Amino acid sequence: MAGYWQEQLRSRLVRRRFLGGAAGGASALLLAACGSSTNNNKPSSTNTANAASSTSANASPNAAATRAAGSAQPAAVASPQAKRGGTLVYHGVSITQPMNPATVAALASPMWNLIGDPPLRLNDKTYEVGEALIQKWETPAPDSVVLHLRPGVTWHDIAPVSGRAVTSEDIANAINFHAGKLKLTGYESQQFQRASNFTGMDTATATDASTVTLKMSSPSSAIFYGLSDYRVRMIPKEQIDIGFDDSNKLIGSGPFMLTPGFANPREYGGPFSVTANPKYWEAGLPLVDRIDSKNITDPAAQNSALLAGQIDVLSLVNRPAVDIQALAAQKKSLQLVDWPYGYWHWLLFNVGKKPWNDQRVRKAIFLALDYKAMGDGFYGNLWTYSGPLAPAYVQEAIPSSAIQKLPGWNPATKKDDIANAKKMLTAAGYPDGKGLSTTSLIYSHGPHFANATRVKSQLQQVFPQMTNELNVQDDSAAFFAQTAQLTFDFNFYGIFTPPDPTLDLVASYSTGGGRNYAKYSNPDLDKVLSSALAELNADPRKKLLMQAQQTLIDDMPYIPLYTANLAAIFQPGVQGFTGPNRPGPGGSSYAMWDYARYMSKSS
Amino acid sequence: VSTYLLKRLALFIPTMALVLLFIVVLVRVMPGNVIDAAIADQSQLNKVDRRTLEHRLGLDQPIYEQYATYAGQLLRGNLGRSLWTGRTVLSMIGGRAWITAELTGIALVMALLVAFPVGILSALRENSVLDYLLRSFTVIGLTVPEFMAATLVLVLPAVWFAWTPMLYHEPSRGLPAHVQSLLLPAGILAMRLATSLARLIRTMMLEVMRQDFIRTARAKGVSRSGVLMRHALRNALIPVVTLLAIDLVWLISGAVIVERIFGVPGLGDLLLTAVSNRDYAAVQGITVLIGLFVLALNLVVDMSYGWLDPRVRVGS
Repeated sequence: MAGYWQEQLRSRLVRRRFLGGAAGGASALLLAACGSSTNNNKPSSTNTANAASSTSANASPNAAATRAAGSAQPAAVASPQAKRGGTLVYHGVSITQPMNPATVAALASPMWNLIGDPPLRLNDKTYEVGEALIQKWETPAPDSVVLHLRPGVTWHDIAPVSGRAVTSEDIANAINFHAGKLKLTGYESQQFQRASNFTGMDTATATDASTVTLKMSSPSSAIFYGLSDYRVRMIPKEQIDIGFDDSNKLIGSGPFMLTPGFANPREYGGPFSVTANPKYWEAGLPLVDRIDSKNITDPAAQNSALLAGQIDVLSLVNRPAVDIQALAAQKKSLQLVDWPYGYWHWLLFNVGKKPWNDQRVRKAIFLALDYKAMGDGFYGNLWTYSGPLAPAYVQEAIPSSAIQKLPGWNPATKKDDIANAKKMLTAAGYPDGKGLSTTSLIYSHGPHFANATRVKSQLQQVFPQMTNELNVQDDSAAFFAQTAQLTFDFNFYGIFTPPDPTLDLVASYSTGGGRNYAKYSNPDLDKVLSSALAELNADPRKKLLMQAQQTLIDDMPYIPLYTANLAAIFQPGVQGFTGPNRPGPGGSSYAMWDYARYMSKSS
Repeated sequence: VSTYLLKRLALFIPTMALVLLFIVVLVRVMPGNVIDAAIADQSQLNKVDRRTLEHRLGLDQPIYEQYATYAGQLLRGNLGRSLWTGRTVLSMIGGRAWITAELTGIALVMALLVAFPVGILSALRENSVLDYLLRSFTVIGLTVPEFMAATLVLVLPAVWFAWTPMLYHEPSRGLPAHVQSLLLPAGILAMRLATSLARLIRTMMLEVMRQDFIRTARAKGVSRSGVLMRHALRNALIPVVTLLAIDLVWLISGAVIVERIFGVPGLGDLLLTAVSNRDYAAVQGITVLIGLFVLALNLVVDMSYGWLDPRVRVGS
């Protein structure tokens, strides 16, 4: 564990040398590794969790695939030595909120990923929890987790902490802050968005100068993934008194620090800039001197800024394949990088309502649908088959390669599946869908709408007497209000998965779970999930999670349609982005800001 | 005049009370509220106690009580705190309003600089080729939507020349660049105002130029420019000023879209976000600000009539 970062750096340099030094040969290797072109209508080999490959470039099956935009050729992106210095310009979110990492976790995360550090980070290759500000940890008893701080780390040289050392009191306080355990007054006490990461934790206490102890009311296997969430960034204890309204007064220990006066209240809502922290504890990082964030909301303006070279990096969230291809075709030297398992799309049944309370009807709908057509239709080849647990949870999920072979998902058995679907629906009393008059509640006109229209069209072909109306809500509050009122038969939405697989299943499927919108309840499943949450050993926990996934495939309260890859486009000279690999630390497009410390720009 | 002014100012209060009532009710009857927007998308293990949150935010009160509470705060100069971010609405609006004022101010100057020459020239050269060209230009300006013009000026140069106009540049990184970054969005925003004003100025100028007093002025030997500026234009201005006041409000509405496209962090952008988040306090605060602006503008317009045409007696 101690040499983790050195190993990380070494492996990244090796990767860079491989990419840069191999020149034309690298293109061929990567082409073989990445497999598919953007036009072949098949998920690329890198898109599947367990894709077999004998090439070195694909040694990590989940590594981001780098392609030359606008062609099937992957780019030879890196030079032998990464250049130091220069300014990277990201398209990103603006300072539109108080930059409070606990109450507006996702929106504040780009800034905090640059200026802050998490307690733990997941290893990109093994997906195991690795060190960051916490260097070692142990669980001496089920009700206790002991965290040992990395020595020699300092906060940024900003008043009032003025570059002092990071202490165990800071870390304990910050963990309590994220967990919603601090006694705060006013609006700071409203929402602690990552509080569920700390399920089972009573309080965090500084037990000595370099140790923090988490007192647990119940054992939780989720705590370590929770501490490695990209949104959980550590702050000095003074920060809570300072508050988060003034963006000039945000203090972290991360690779970049705020440029004094970079923002002022008059420009609230504007973009931001950070400069390299010369005292950063990860030796040799960051590589660039400065990062500017440009705030561009409109997709056409984003594309124009990229083509004109005004921005170096553009993340592409929920963009249709046709849009990405058109953008890439305009400037072929752009680098398109995608990484799997980002955004989970679902069809949720209103399971409390007839006929969706009948497992046969749900299963018939599931078997009748063509998931490949849905994924290809919107995302081209930038998607992955997914079961009840998104394949992002590489250690715990049924891998997408296995999901792809199961009835319902398997394109090769679609004819048989449809025949079975017809039989099941007839047995349930709805031959050819007769008597089924359904409404789909859809969030926005993006991919969810594309999925819903394809579901409607596919169901009409299989069950000609079934009707389906589309109710699209572009406004999130209206969508969630109708979701809460259960005014739907099918609900189309999607989400970035949380960092811990057990918490993901608990939230989505357990009785009373926060994301269990249709109020599905299966007491047997609840027991399995409770056991998994309390199980601290990986193997028995994995068995329990596999059991839960099988139950959900049999019962099918949700249909996991697929997960969309995340993608970003880089200017030709930008190097060093390997792509995050899994949810939480790598599941959201915001998380890519955590990788800025590795990135460089050659021109 | 001072009595008239006082009466008009006194009318501000009931008018604002009505505007506020309308907004307070309207945003609350929209489907979904701030708690739907805030917590529904989170993977909490247990649902946040909705009632507790509603109580904390004062949303469990009947609407009329919420209205009374807010109106009372307002009278004390307190616009409240954002339900979403906890910031004071005044601080949120403060920085944003300035940027929108800059944008719309530049747009207004641009519109006036285009509208008057075009309108006057078109009237003076009635039914000439120039007149037809200028009128065609104004029709284009009126019919092309702002969002379309804004998108095209960004996308087409990017596709054709790998160049795009500068997006928003904050003042701390250089005032000239900041002003330059506002010119194009302001120009697009000015397009509709300029063309609608130009058409009205042309029509009014043609009407006034045919009046007897213009003929008399000419007969008395007043110079052409004197007739134009002192007699014709001044008399043509009353409906133009009225339209200008109405169009200024439209200018602020148009800024919502243009700000989004050009990445300008102004009031329009804030309003869109606040509506989407059901941030009632922020929506109300921005609406109050716009309401006050409109009322003040109307007052200024009414007062200007007397100056423009002494036959109009304010208060009579």
